[in-house]
Amino acid sequence: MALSTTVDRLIPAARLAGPAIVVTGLVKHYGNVKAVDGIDFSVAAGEIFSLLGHNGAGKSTTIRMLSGRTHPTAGQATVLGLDVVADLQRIKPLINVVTEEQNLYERMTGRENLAFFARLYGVGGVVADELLETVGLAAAAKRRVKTYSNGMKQRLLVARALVNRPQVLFLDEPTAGLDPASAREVRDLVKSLSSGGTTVFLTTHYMEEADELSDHVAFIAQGKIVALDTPRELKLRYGNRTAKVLLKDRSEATVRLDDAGDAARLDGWMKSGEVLTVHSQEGTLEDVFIALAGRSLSQ
Amino acid sequence: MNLRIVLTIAAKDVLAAGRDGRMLVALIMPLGLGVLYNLITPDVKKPTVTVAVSSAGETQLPELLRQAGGSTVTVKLQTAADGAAVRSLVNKQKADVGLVVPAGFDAAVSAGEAPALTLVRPGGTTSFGASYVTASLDAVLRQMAGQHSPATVAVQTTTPAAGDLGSLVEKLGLRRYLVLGTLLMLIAMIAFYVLPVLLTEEYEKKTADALLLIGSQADIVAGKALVGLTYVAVSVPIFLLVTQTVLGNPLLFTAAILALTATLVAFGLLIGGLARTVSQLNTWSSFPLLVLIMPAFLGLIGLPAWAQFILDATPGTQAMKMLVDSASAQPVYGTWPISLAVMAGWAVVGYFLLVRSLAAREA
Repeated sequence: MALSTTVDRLIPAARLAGPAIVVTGLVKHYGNVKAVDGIDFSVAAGEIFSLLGHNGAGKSTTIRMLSGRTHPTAGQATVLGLDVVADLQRIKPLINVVTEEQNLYERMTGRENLAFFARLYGVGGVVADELLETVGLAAAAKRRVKTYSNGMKQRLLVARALVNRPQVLFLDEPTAGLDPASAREVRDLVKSLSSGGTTVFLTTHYMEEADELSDHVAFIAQGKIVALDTPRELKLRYGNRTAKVLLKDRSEATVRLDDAGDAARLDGWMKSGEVLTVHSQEGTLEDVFIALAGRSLSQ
Repeated sequence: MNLRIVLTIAAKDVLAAGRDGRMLVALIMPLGLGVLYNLITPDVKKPTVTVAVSSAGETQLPELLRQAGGSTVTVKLQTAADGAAVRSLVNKQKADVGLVVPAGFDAAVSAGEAPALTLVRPGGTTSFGASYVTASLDAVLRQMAGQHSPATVAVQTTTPAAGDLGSLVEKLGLRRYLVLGTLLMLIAMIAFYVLPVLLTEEYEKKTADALLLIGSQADIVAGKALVGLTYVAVSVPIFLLVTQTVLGNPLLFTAAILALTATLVAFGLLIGGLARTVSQLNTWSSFPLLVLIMPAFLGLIGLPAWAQFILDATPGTQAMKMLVDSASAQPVYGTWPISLAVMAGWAVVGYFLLVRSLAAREA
């Protein structure tokens, strides 16, 4: 896809000086269920911020509160400096959301879907053609959406979320269920948007995706933020720093770099010339999540 | 509420019907039924009696017979050369009955001379025409003789009961009654099927979530209501055209359609908001549909007073009364203020519940 040039024309005209999103003590209860239980974080303008967690951890509820689809039980949140409850009508034209469900009008064509939402936002229908080009669906513009593959639908959802040139874009599991090629296209699109100045708030199950895309990552478990930092810092803090060593006798050994005994062992092999190769094994966000939650995201 | 969003949603749904088989069937089926009733249901017409007349001189008798038919019977006169020609016409069934009037008949009647008058009836069968003319002759001849009626008859017309088929048929015709019943069905299908499906599907397929990112629940519901009004505004004139329905009172007709549509749209959208899936809607929406449509047709069979009282409290019955009055030359019921009041009452209840459900959903 030739994304960059088209996306450049779609990026927000005005850039925010302060944080794009500020969340303070945000709470959402559904009866006795504490979906979100007092979270605090902020997202800088133009960055990609990922919220990771199990199903039911509170990711989608957080997006619903920040996009005005549900009111917080307590706490406060601002998007682009506007309160998500009091200033909701002013926030709506400035943000957009790609939801987990592929909620498109399937009897309408791809172009009709985009043109319809463009009219809802009071934007000319011309933007529909630009966006279809952007997401690589120009050739399928006149086909009904029900004939689209999952990947095409997902790209159309992203295109739909761009009709109003949002300054903040919420992406709820945008690559769930996509084949690797389609997921790659969506990720490239997200990167292009971010480089153009759009603030992206992402939830995902895929740790590699969050690692690749995010400027900051927050882990949420049982409605609480349990860790928040850059992916590198999180991996350094919670991941295991190890190295795989191949010795002359063709045996392999894994050494933990934080462990004094292992470090001395590696030093000895090096001095005796027994080491053929050393491969550093950096921790992953999956390791971080397991360290924090006690189980992997796939469990 | 944002007018641009409401209009955009409405425009999308109006066009969507062309691609949705369910919507097309819901709109076309009542139109088809209307055409069918129009074709297969005969109107009960005023009977016609053909009288063959030969007269040897000037006489007022045939014309007075024709006038006596009034609004009950149409008397057609056929002049014959002589008595043989009269008998021939009756034999060939070209006339129901024949009269052979002698010369100087009118003068002889006036003078009280009881002149002979020959009436020719077809043999071997009971003819309504012959019986009617035979029965009418005495009164006509008394009139010619200048005799007064032995009593003065004052005719009083009562308001017909809903089941008074005779009155309905006389003033409107069975065909037109059934066609109007189908028109009621058309509006009910739009309000209780098309609109709820459109609304429920938005929530079931989560497209409402995308709409709510820029609009509100009220925008969505108002958009659907506008779709209902548009479908009614387009389909009712088409219905009148294809069923060749002529209106006696277009203003009353328009008022009936508007009041009924406004009332039913509220309940249709309420139902659409309550159902979680279209499948659930398909199961349950037929009940309110039946409750609405049935009174229109039950009106033809006549019901006990208590049952009629209940039916009279429904918008379907009241709308049907207004439609009947608007389509007949003279009002059959003449109760349009009551009809409008009943429908307005239902509309108030419907919109109150709709607003309550919207507020609950927004919360």
